[in-house]
Amino acid sequence: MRDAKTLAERLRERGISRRGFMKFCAATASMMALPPLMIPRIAAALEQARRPSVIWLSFQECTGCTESLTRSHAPTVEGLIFDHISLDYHHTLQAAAGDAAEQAREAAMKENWGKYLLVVDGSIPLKDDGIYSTIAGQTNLAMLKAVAAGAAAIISVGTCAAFGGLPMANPNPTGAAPVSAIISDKPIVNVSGCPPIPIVITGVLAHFLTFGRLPELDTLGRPKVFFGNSIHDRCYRRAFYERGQFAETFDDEGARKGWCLFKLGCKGPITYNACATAKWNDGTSFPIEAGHGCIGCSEPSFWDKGGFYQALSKGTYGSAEGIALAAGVGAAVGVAAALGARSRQAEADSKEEK
Amino acid sequence: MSGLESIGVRVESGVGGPHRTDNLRPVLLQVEQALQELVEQGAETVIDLAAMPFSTQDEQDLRELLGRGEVNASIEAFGPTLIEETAYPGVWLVEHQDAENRRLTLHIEVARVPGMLLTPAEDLAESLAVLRRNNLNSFDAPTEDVP
Repeated sequence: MRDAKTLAERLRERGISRRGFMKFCAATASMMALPPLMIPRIAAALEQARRPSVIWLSFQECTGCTESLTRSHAPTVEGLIFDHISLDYHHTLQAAAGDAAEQAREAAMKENWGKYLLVVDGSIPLKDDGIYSTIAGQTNLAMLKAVAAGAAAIISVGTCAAFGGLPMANPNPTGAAPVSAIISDKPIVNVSGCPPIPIVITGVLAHFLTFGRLPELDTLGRPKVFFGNSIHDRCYRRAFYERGQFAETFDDEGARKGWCLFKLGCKGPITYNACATAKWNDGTSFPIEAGHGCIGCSEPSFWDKGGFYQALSKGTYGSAEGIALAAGVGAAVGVAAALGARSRQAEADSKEEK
Repeated sequence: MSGLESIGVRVESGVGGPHRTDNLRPVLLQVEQALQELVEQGAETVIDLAAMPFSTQDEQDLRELLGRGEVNASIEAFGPTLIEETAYPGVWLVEHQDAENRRLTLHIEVARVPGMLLTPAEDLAESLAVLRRNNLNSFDAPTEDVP
């Protein structure tokens, strides 16, 4: 159900004062990784922001992305932004079912044609005309094409929608493909991660609400503000990497002292995401803080690049002698190796896309 | 001992250890430059400490180095906002929290008065209108009904 109220009016109705609104804008700027000098501009834009229609399609997925998004404790800035959108179709969250649900989707599309946001989680099976996943008798492929036609922009949430994800893992029995392999005439932003960080999902929504367009993207179509740095770049254990101090097993002295997990398979050097700064579970920690290496879940084909516990230096991502050397000799080579790893990753991704 | 406490992981500390990033000194230099701009041009600056890796230990060091000034203020709007003047007048720590007291942002604000303490201009006009109406009602009411 939509109304004509602006975000500021809706917040005011909930008893949030103008000071509270400015605070909301300060938190939103921080969430979008924008400088504080943008706060007045965000406030001016959000004062006028109307409630956008959002259609959320779930295809070959595990619902982990929705779980991630809805696990924030209210009231949060993410929650308020999510409350402000008109979520007109979402299998897991909507009350309607069956024909009523499909009618709600069609009505929202008709009413907001050309203006609604399409959020997709899950990959799309293409093999055998897409029969391996259907909704209301319609293949995911047909539904994606039909809904994408009237969308202003598409947000591919999670690694499955962004890059094919686990359904696309070898031998890819359903011919799974990401959204970007099917839709080429709409702006698409990839919010990868298995699952993605909730604040990144809402950060993209907030950016769209504020500026009426999607944020600046990297070469893999991900928002640069959240995917511009590697996990390794921002890891609090980076100092140990620079000093060549590594845990060799999960229960040795190095592990107990919190040393670098590179040799235990951490994919932080070639993984781009905001886990180290945004963190998880209401900002509690991220996997490396819990003593486990990064598995690289926001990168394409992470599941087909060797074991999670196999060190990068063992050749999973190409020969990677540079990375192996970095593990031994420390800082200067470490930086070069990280850059080399990124270069190799970009090259590999480019080959995969071809 | 039970639960997480029984797990024997203790991250090493010490100079250059993992609890500290290298971002404290650049932040302090940024504060110095911002203060210079406030003095010379009246320009105000807000620094968002969430924009860079900044550990709990960094924050503790920052608070010790900046010290405490004369003013403490709190605001209740969409959860609490805690405002502290540091020992350097014009340099403030502004922490926004949500309704459940979880931190939303931590800003260093370099200004004569933090923006959140100022009354929003729109509220002034509304305030005057409400006060006028209430005064009018008070004067019209019988004296005995006025508390």
